[in-house]
Amino acid sequence: MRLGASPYIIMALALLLLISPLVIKSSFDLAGKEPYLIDRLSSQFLAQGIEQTDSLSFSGRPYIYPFGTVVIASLIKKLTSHNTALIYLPIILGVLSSLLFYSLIRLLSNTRTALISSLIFIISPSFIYTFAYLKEFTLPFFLILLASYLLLTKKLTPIAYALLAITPFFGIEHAIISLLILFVFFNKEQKPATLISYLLIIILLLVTYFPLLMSNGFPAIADFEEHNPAFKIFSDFGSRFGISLFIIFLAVFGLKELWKEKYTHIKVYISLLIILVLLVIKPSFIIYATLLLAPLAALGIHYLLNIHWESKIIKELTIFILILGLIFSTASYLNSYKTSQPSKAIISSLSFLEQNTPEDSVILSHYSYGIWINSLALRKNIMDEQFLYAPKLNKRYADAQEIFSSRNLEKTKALLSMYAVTHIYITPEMKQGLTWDAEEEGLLFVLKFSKEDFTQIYNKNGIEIWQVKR
Amino acid sequence: MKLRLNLFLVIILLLTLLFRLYLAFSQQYFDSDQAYFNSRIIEHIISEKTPLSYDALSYGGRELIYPQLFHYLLALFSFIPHFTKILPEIFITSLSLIAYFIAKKLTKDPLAALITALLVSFSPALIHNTLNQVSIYTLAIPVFYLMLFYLMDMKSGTRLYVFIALSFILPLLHPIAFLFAFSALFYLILSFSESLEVEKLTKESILFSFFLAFLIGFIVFKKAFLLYGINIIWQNIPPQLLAEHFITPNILNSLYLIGLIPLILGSLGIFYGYFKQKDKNIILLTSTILPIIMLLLLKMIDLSTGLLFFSVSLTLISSIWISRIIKHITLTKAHKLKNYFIILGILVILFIIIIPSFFSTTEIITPFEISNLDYISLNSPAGTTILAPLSQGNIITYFTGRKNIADSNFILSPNTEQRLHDIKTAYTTISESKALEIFHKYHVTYIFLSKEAQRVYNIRRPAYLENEKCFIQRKSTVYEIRC
Repeated sequence: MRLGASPYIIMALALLLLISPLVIKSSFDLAGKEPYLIDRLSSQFLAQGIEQTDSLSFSGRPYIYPFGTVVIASLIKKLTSHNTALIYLPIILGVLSSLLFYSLIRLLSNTRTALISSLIFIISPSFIYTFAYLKEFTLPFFLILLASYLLLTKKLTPIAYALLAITPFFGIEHAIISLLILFVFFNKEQKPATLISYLLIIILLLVTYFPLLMSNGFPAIADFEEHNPAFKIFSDFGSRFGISLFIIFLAVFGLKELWKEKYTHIKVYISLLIILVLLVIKPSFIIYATLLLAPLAALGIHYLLNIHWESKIIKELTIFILILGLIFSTASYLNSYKTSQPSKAIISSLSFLEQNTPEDSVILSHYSYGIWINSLALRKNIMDEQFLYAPKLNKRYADAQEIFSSRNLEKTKALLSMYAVTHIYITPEMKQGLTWDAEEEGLLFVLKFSKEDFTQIYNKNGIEIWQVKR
Repeated sequence: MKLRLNLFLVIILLLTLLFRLYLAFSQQYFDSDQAYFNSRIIEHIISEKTPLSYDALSYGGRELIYPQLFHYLLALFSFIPHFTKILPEIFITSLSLIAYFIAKKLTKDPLAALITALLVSFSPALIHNTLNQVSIYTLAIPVFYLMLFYLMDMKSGTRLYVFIALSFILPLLHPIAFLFAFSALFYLILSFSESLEVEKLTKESILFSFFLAFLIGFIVFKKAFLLYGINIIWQNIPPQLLAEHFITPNILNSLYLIGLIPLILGSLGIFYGYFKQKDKNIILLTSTILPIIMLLLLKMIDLSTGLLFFSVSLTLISSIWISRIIKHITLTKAHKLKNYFIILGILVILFIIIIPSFFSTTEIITPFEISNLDYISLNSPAGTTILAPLSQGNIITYFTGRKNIADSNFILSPNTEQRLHDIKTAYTTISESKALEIFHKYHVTYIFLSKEAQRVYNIRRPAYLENEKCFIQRKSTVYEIRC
């Protein structure tokens, strides 16, 4: 194979993989929750500009969203179209990121390693997750990758520093990664520029988040959420943004290969350690971890190919299995887009909700449907998955659970009235374990036998919408 | 002498096989509900030549993910009469031979190896879990220990090729391939911690089998992994059964299943082999025990499977002390009585292990009840649903060819918790309308009121069956619903 053609192969494969979810879903409906959230926020920004509060999420909460992505998405929406901002732009950025990544690794090692690293990088589910539809990580990840490339090539370095400096507008996580990038690419010649960037990032972080901290204090931790990062980072265990377990297997060999040169690559070890700590705190950091793990996995393949094996057949089979494992994880992940949510049934039911309920309606549902209730029905929810600085987070959850589990009509009515709930949105998933395990459990019993207090206004494909009578 | 020992080995193998076949054939039916599930897959393979991926009878129709190599293998020998009774017993008997070779490898003492083979053959845990049950374990366990045996002395050539083949076979047989993968990895860690050099080829083979187990496991259980994530360990078992399934070991029951001799001698063997001898092979066997203890304590493996492997590994390790005892006798004045001691020892083993084994078999359904089920298969249209307790779900689908509400295959089963709740309500409610509501929901036409149902739900007869217009008693244990 001619290695000169590598960048084209990488770009073509990245394009193919990023288009796959659209082909598999056979529709331009967005998949997941983040694209819907960004869609709503960017539309709101175009209409009203940046606001202090979000009136729909948690029926009103502080505006805590990283507005970098929202502003850019709304600008592109205004200049082009909805689909360009939310579907085509991330694909283009994904293809460019694959090229940037290839170029970066080629500068650091050689064409072969760059090719293998890039292949591992683009077939990793975390890459597909980040660049298939616009997500919170799409833009900052691309900008950080671009800045890293510019810093490494020492071209347009002021732009690189500027790109890193604006990352606080996209979220604290990205600012931390920027600081890490500055540490990795630090060189004495550009000491002042690096220090200025450091300062800028810290100042912007303070400017952006200090007022929030001052007015709201430290954010509450959701004590009802199972925090099990180890299993959120592996796509093989059903994580929606994770990586393949086989990348980790290969990366372990890669580290062994790297360790041959002992502390020469100390910055790599430190970066990996920091990213692993960040992963434990927030598993969605996995895309940044992939930046390190993919080259390590490529080194792992190199190591396995070059060490002396007692048995040639075991060598060939082991390497074949590991590569097959990587491909299987990708295929399996892409296949999951077939059943990705929201389904057509959810979209049409929420569209019904938008058309048939007053604008100030408050909808009670499981919190995993909250973002779609806000974005597709444009109605208030009781709670959703944006827990950061959510008002009375744990109390709301406890009250929602009380409503769902209680068979006591008076208690249920009092709680519904406390949150001004006007409608209840129930899906088959909620009845099959997400909220209830039995058919007449808690609220389901109340709804069934309290016709005077609740009216069913929608019942299609197992989705029910109940109106609370006042 | 060698010839005599080989003869004894053959006698032990024959004795084991005859013992198992005698007990298997002394019962007309199989001893577990799962056996009928496996039998149905085998019959499907024989007739359709394809794996069973959609089970139209289980849970009223559900997707099925289950490794089916064992079923294909049995289907291949379906020309042999009573193949589902005979072949699994032959498979599991081969474990005695493997145990002999492993014990001989550990002790270099053929006599101790023979006694170990005898102990393994009649291990109560093994009999309890595999006798007359068409159990996948009958093949998976010998493959598991054969792979360990090959790891003890890995060499290029035939041994390596057989190991590679077994590495493919085990994950296609049963998810215990993961246990093998972790045990082997644990072995490398323990050896490293004890500064013991493991041969390169052994390391390579372990790595290969480790990755292969994961790859095949992910492919076979792909949908379940994506659906349940790491919770697949608990196999979607509903909460009301989870505690029963992953119970903390009860000392007396565990002692009975493992056996007193393997427990004492095995524990001493671990201590001696691990700390004194620093024997790699002992470390390898210990590596199968430690993850099991860990998994049992973390409630990540069901008790019967855990004790099964725990018991076999411990028995194998006990060969070290058996050998030491034999050598000790030889050194004492009692050496002239050595043969008597051995005979006495074997008699004690027979008394302690074999006799309880006769009583360890359980009858989960009576021939009379099965003859009652024939009425349903002869008098109801295909697609009929029968109410039966969960523990007999597979039995009724096998004998009647009709649907059940629920059975013990929980992975990908729909609304398991609700269904179990409904089955319990249907058997225990005094409200006819409540019962009819459940029967209509699942389109139930027949109620199977077996002894098992009476035992599980602590009932004699649901009160609503008094309404003879709605519930017609067709057989002693079969009621037809007419309302």
